[in-house]
Amino acid sequence: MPTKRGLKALGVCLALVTSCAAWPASPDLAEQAVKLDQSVEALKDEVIEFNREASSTEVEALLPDYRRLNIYLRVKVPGLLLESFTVQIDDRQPEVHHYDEYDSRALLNKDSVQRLLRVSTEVGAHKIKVAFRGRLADAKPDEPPLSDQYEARFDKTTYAGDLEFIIANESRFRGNPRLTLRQWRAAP
Amino acid sequence: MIPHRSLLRRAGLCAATAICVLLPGWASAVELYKPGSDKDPQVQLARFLGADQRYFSAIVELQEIAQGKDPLQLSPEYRLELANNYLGFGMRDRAESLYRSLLGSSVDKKQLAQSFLRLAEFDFQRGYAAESRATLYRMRDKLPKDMLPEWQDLLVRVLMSERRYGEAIDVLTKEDNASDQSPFTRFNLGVALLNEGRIAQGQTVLDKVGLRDPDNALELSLRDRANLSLGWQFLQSRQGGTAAPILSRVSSEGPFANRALLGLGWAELAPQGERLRKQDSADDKNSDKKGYTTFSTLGVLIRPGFLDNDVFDRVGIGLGSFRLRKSKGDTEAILKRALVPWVVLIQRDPMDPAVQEAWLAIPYTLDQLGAHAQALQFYEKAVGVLEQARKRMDDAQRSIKAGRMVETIVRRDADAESGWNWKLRDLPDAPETYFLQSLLGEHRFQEGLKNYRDLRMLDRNVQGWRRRLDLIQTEYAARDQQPADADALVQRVLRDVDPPYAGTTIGLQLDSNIVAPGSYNQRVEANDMLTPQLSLGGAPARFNGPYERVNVLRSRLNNLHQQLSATATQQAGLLEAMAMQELDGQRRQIERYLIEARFALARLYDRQQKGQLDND
Repeated sequence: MPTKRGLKALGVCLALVTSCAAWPASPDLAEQAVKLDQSVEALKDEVIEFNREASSTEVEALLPDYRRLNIYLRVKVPGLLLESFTVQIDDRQPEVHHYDEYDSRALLNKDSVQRLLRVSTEVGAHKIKVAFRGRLADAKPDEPPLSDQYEARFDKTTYAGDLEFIIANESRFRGNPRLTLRQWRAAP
Repeated sequence: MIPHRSLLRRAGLCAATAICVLLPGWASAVELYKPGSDKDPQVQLARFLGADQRYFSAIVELQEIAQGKDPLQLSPEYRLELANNYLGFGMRDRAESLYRSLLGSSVDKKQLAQSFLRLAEFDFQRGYAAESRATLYRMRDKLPKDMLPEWQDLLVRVLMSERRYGEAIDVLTKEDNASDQSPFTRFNLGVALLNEGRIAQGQTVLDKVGLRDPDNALELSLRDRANLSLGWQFLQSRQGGTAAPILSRVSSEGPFANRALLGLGWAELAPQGERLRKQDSADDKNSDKKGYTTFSTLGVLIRPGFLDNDVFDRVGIGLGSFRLRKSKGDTEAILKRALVPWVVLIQRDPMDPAVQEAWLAIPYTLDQLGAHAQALQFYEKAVGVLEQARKRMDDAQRSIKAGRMVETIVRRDADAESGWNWKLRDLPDAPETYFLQSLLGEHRFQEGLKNYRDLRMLDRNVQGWRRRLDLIQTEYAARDQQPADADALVQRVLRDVDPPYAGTTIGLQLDSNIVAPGSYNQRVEANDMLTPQLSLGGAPARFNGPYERVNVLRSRLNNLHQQLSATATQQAGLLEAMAMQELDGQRRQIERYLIEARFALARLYDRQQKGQLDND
């Protein structure tokens, strides 16, 4: 029964907010909890280290830097909630990203980008095609979605490359959201 | 007539325009960033992942940038990002050392203060009260002024959890900023004052919280809680006349209504007490005159409330705590008035201790009224209700012992990486759920649940690498891609690497004692220099390429999987122990009521047999 569940959940939240004492009850269990908490933190550290090493091994083996290309997306239009973003490099199969509200809101966070792709690409000239579709958070239901597409050529050098697509308003005060492209690379 | 050359130029321009439209343009020039700096897309990616509550992935990305280097050597922005994600994922030690490294750095002071507040909140919730208190006191000197109420609120909760009520009162009153404090903070002040023995001040503060016009459901709940606490406090100090209107303020929808109904009945029977004078706390002399706003109050059927033993414990109230106030002609009317809220109460869920107590209070009152036959019937019904409650409790305990409770609670959003920020959004439909609502809301249980969830998520992550590691080895060994152009890579290295002698200046100086050219006596052995002795070198002791590293990673994976499973089992065991402890307490309460009901029933039958009962 959804209503009952909702009330239960609300009750849990209320109890949390209004609770004063944090750790009553048996000292034995509290002590065990603290010890376990410390073990869990140590284990988290180990798993993160494992992931870091496994991930760098994977990248080194399958995506060496002279072939590596990262494609990022930044949204600079306040309130624009993305629904989908499509990327196509050369004649490869287009990659389509679908967004839920939580993801699209996270992308509106200041100075943050999403990595859309991390792919292996030969050194040389390439073509890239991208397109997005989304709505403003305060858009009426019958308003058509906002969209744009962009096509460009770029040179993949022997360095790992970063392409950043930016969705921004055409002008500071008005205009539709438009796509632009920036190229980045780590300084040696 | 247009000149021929002009026509051609125009045609050329058109063609160029057409090409521009048809062909994609070249991307702009490449910009450089320093790895780990604020411009680094991977740092900004971590920021996105953090905002998406994917703390674990964010940490791995940031660690990848560091490439094994000590994070303390990287930029302040990087360290702040990493620390925030560590804390989000429940790794307080890592977060704390990074936050501390940022003191005196270029990071915004307010941002850093907020981070320390979050760290202290984390410590408080995880049960590290002393660490939380130490962090809060340490940051006090450099605390931005507008963050003072937030700081006070947290510090007071920490101090109260340690029963340091006097210190908590000082923290809230010496800054003279009562108007900036939230109603939650004022509620805590009221409770601290009561616990410190400053009863009149505590009552006044709670009364003000209980009269506030709530802006949202949480504030409404707080108002109810304040009124319930205050009402029972008056009951304890034999001020039934004051308790009744305060308990009547408790709204009919909410977790505190059942206990308010129970208290309302007792307020009729308790001594009425004398008129009280209000006394403001030290920081709140200008009392606001906000009137009581009407909300739907008691008298409307509501869902069963949540258990919250502290009110009962603090008040120390039960059936035996009351003595019927001296009454003469109005005794019968008083007893009948007390029955009204209790009759409403017994129609609610009998698993609530307030309802169970009402089931005993009604026959007790009927007996006092001389309605002995009805009292007997009610006691018998009460025994039935309590036995049913005990049976349901047994089912709940059996269900917990079966070991599925914890997994069932956390199965939703199983792969979310939200760590410490994970929230329990709904509860499973299981026999134990009802009895555990209070425990489920407590930090000690919630934090344990979060750890359990994280362990399960990490185990799935580690297990997921099993297939990925196989893939790395397979693809690495059987790659059909062309090898990289070695010349291009060498050129790249030459461009990037400065020769070790670059920038070296060689100083020359005159030396008058040098031997003149041509005066060497020793013969130069040119042949020795030109033909160095070569020999075969030994093979490297071990290769450490991706293929070999995968083998090492695979054995670490197995080890981690075992540790994660074992720790998750321990964590689930601890949570089950907490749940069993909670249910044991509730079971003892039911059994106490059962004994009281049976004892009262036996006495009534005894009196009946002896002919001591008047006719109804």
